[in-house]
Amino acid sequence: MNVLFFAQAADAAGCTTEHWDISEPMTLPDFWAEAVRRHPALDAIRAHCRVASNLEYVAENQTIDPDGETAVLPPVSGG
Amino acid sequence: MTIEIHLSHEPLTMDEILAPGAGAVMRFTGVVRPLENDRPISALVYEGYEPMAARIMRDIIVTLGESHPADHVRVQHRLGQIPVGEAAIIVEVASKHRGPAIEIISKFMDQLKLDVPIWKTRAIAQ
Repeated sequence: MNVLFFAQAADAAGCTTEHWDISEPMTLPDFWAEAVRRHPALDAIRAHCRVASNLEYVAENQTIDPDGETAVLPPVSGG
Repeated sequence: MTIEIHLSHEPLTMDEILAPGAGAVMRFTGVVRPLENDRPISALVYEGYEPMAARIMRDIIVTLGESHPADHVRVQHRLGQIPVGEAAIIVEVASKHRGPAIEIISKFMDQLKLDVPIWKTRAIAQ
């Protein structure tokens, strides 16, 4: 799984992209557990972030494609 | 309805919108203000998840077009460092009457600020 971090999430993770060796679909709680294990500073902002899989926001009842592109998205501020 | 979405790291341009038959052409330009959190700045830096931002902007416009019929919608959003006074976003809508164009611009901007993955990441101090 390719994981992208944007804006404050990139600051917290200390990187903008990384690869995870994941073979099964992940729930959001599983994803966050792994993300925080790798980057503990993400725990402070996770409540405000959304996760996207293959360019679509992931809802609570959905899983994340292990072969796709996953992104951690802080609150947006465009315009 | 024709939809154009442009994400650019260059200054935005204001070409005339193509809409034969339109009776209303509305344009909203969002400009970088000289103060950020009450402090003078010279520029803002924007970052975007570009493929998803383009996709979500298109989805928003398609949904709005179902209840507010328009002929042509063009959105340009600039990324990177944008100096004070220059445009960060331009939204242009051509429709037969002014009502749908006004509604689309207003509702699009509201939705953009909720869902489109673009961020002001940094203010450059003056």
